[in-house]
Amino acid sequence: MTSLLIVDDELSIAHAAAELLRFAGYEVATEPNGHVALASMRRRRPDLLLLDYMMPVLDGLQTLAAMRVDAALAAIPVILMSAAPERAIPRGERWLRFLSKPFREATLLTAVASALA
Amino acid sequence: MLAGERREMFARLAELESERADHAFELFVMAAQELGTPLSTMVLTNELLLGRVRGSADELPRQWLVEQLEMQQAVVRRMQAMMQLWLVVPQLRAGTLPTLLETFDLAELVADAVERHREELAWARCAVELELQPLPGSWDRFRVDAVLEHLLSNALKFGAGHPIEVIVSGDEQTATIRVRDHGIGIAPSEHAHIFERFVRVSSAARVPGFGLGLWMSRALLRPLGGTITVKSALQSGATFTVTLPRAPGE
Repeated sequence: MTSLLIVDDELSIAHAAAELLRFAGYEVATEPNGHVALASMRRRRPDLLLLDYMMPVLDGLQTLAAMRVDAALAAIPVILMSAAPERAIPRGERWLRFLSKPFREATLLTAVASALA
Repeated sequence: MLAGERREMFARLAELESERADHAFELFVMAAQELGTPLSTMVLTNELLLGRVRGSADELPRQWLVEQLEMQQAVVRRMQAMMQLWLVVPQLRAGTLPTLLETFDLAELVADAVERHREELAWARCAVELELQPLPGSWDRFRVDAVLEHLLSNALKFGAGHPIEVIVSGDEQTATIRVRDHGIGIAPSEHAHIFERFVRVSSAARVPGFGLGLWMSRALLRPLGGTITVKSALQSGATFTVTLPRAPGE
């Protein structure tokens, strides 16, 4: 089963997105920030990471930077999520897809399917 | 006043006016970010529930439906509490918000506040160590609860993955609430400013927020004769200590 990891500091968002994706047939785990997520991904590498941009401790871009220098994590495809428009996010790190919050079920499922394709 | 001096004064006034306008515009962005989170949750949860109920609701365990609605309800309650606080910001600033005293046990109030965050704390892998000494006294429930809410939310956000200690202790005259996390901490150079309005510590730069929580906490406690202080260092967690007289005027 395809495994996804959602990293978002808001439990309610991570929970609802995870439930939607589980109904679509994915195996989904959630983590509350980038720091905890890095440790979790080193234990078990997900097929796709859905990463929030604005987070305490280690935000989305800092998490991406840490993944880039870790051979085990560098190739994991990433969907970056934020309520801020993509153009307002500093470039430098790379992400495969961008999900603008609040997103709807269809948008979420399409983004995940296309990132995994 | 010479013409040159007058020109300089007008230029400075225009500059100040422009800075004020910039600040007001930034508030729009902050408000949108703050409201974005509960809105995102509600959109997603509604999609989740509508999609399932329209489809095969009969096959869904009732308990699952209740859990989703409870999570939605918790988000709405948190949003309501946030709005209540936003609405009294001008009165807090002016010091005119009425204080409504009632007698209650501080330990019970703290236990309730921790219970409200039980699921989030478990999810963030924050084991909570509670040390609660029963401590009845005369306080304003709204004010103390709002401060607790802010301290617990911060401990959760910045201390995820580490334990949190919450201690209520006191003597005949004074009650103390201590909330300690073991997260990213606050640099000592920032301690003097974190209780000011619109000040955000550098470690919180990429988290939505107005930078009003600690300023509001101090303003909420002031009429009760209460204080709030911090002890912290970068990467060493943070301890916030609230001290309250058992009854105002003591």
